[in-house]
Amino acid sequence: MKKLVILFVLLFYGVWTGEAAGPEVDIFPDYKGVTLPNNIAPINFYIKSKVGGYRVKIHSSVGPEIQLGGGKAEVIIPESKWKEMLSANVGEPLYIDISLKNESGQWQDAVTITNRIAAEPIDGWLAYRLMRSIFNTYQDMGIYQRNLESFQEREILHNSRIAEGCLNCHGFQKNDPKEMTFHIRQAELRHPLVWVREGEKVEVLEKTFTYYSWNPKEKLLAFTANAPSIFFHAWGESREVYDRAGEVGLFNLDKRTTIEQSNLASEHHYESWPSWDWQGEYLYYCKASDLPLDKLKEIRFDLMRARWNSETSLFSDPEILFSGWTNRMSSAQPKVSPKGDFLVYTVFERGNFPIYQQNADLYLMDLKSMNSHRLECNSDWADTWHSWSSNGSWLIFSSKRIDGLLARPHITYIDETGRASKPFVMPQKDPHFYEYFIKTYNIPELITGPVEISPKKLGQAVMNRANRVKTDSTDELSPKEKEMPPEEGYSTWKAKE
Amino acid sequence: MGKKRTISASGEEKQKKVQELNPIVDFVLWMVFVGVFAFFYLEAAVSPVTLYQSSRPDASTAFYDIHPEQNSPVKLLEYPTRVLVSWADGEISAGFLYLVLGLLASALLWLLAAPRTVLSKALSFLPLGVLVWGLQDFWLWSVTALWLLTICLALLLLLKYLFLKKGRWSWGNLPQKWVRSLQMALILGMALLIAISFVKNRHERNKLLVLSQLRQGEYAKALARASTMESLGSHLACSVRYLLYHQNQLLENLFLFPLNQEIAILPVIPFAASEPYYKTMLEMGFVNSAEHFATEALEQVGDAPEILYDLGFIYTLKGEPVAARVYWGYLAKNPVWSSRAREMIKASLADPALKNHPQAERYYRYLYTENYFYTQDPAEFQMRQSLLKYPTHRMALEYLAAEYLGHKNHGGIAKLIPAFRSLNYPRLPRHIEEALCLALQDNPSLEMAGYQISPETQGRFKDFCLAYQKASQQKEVEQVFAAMGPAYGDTYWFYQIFSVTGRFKIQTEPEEES
Repeated sequence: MKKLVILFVLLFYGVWTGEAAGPEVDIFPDYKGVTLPNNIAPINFYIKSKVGGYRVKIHSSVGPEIQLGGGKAEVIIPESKWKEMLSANVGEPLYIDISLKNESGQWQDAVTITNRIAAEPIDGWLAYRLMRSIFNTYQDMGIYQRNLESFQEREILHNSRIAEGCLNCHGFQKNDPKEMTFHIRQAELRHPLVWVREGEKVEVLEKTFTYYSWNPKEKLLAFTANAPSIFFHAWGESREVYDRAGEVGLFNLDKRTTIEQSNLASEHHYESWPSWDWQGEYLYYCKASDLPLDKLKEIRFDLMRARWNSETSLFSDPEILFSGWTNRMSSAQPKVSPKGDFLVYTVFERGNFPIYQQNADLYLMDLKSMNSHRLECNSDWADTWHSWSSNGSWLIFSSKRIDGLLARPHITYIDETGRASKPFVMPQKDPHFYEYFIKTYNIPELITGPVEISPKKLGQAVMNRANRVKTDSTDELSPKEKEMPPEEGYSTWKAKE
Repeated sequence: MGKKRTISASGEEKQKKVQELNPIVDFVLWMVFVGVFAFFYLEAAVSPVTLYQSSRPDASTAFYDIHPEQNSPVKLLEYPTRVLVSWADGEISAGFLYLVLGLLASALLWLLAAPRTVLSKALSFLPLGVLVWGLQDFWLWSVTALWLLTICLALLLLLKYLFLKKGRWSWGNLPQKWVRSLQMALILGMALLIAISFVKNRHERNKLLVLSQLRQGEYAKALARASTMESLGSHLACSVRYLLYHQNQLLENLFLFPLNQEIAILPVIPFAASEPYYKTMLEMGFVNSAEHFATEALEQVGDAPEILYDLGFIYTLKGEPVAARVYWGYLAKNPVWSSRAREMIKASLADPALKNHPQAERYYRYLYTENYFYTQDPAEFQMRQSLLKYPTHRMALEYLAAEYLGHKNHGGIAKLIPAFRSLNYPRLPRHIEEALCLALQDNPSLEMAGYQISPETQGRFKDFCLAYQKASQQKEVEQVFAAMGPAYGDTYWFYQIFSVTGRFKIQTEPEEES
């Protein structure tokens, strides 16, 4: 409260002393009025208006200020000074004073940018998939990780190491980089699930499914094996995904056995997006009527949850949290905060794949009152694929707000009441980066440290037959079916004349 | 005798001059020159990241763990290559490895080359050229060829060193006669290899040239080259259709090219022809199809500047100017395309919709903005819809007519006659007349909207019928084909009967054992 009063007084003082008289400066990326984790990399930006020169002073309550200046519009903040400033001013405001030199050579002060340094850090690393804006075929695709405290980016695995297979849906147990799983769609490898356990042991499990979630306590995955296929529109957003089937099941990674959950399945319905809460108490998932493609406008997913009984390995009868039919909207990707107080999910017009729908927005449900509201961090473009920081204070999500096409990771602070701060895009060393980077950031997942296994070792381990592990579903599919990846829309197609 | 001495004396002077420059310094200077050229090429023409990614092995030797069937002697040559390449595990180390590979072979050639004339110096750097050129598409074989060549050259050098008398070895000294012969043989061998590959790859080279000329808008040249080709794949067939349209020949000379029914029409699943297909769709007004297949093309061929440039227009048409500028922004990193890309960014910032840009204006004219969904591009449906919306859309009409021709649907052609009239065609195109000759047989009272079938086509049709009657008396279809092909192979009638054009080579299938 005291801090808020100080902030208010400072802001009021700034306005009263006439600082607001200067011009509003337009910067890219937009780092104005945002809340920053105290361990985030420097928020390099450039000044959009044409100026003859600039002077920038970055300062907070304690410690030396950072002074920058030059003829170019790029503001590149020295990493060491930035780190010092953030760590010395946790919970304090962060000011960016900008003076611009106009064409006649006179200096003019712009309105001070006021951000806030949060008391809570964000998980240090982010894992994501990078690929071009693909439709059916892909050639260049990889899972990467980025140190959010610096600009270091490392490859986890590029698909050129695994015979150009499709890499997708990487997942971690409670944001722990030592327990990682991901899928590979590659016919010769039989579309396995790869498990990197304890940071370095690799198991290539002959098990194929689509969406899944790690149980926080056991080596247990809740999954749905769907059959999403891509179809196209003649105008507007080109792509949309249609899901044809999918039932919730559990897969025990240690025993390599599948446990069916018949009480979650019902006739003429299918399930999707299973997600455990961080206590392993509930499983959240989405469910819709099994409708044909020509009725796609009526496909709306309900948001469900069911209580888990670890002793009987069975779920209770499910309850509806969000009705697709009542709200005339669909839901997807439920994710509960680590403290178990909030549930964030995506709401959008129809179907099961929000990233291709411009109206996709993040909603937050208070799990005590069960009330939902549209998060303040949404935009006019798709906002989805979110991931919680392990301390529950930060949410990172994919947003297409910058250009309408390519998803970029945006970070927002979630306060105790469930309100989101104005989001900011993951900082890059080059402030122009998002103006020329033609790849999309897919499935950003926060992790508490880096995935240590080398890409080379991981690639070799995946390709090595000795690492293949049979599961109870190994022989379920006929050889021909094994050739067909479940996501046929993304099947590898090689141009042959 | 005296004359011979004079000649040999002047030869020695020349050799001395050649040897004046320390060969190591000379090599380094050449290396710097070639290195700068290679670096510029890599930076300008090929993105280093793309190059690195395209040249990474499939997890090195583990490739064979899942491909045991590929352990053939030839494929085994690739094994050491994969081991070698897997040592380099990053952009810098990969670049270093390739440079060492290229330079080692070049240095060995340099040591063997004598006298070091400009030509022999240039030839010495051929391996580096092979590397730079080959890594983009043929990394496996260019690296394999390089290490094999390096071993051969090292052996050759060893032989030279062992068999030369002691004391006669010195840098830059003229080698023995046999060594010179060997060098000559090597150079001639390489020249022969190049000549053979040049002749052997004629089709592939022509294909690349056609595509390159198409990208650069040199339609007449591209079409002329395509017309010399003996066979067309679906990519080229789709390109030829595009070229024919732009030369006002689509409905005049479609059947002049070697086509079968599969490639005579627009591909149902156009992945094999993504690039010409997206260009067609972009001009046709179907911007989402254009986006789809431009993206597919980008995945297939890498970050081709022309495709990136077009994607900028595609996103502008879709009302996403910021996304358009991202593609042009990426293109601006390419030094050759930089200024064009920056111009487009500037134009887009000034006018995000580019309504006044001549190229965008052309695309806007027939932009189809109604939505429907599909799983595979319904090309024929799209063209019909477009023609309904824009009756003056010449491209939609001609492509739709070509589509009907390809499907042997002369009934459909007959229905298009009023559309030709509303577009003020002075006469019906040749293939349309040919199709109507057949349509009139089915329906003599066909409404021709004031058009008449030209006397030439009528006369040729009569001759065709007579010739076919005569040729049909032969037993084998191949004989009929051979008899009719030379005179009528470029007509719709011929295609109607054989489902291929006259220049299409029919592969006779071997008879199955009973």
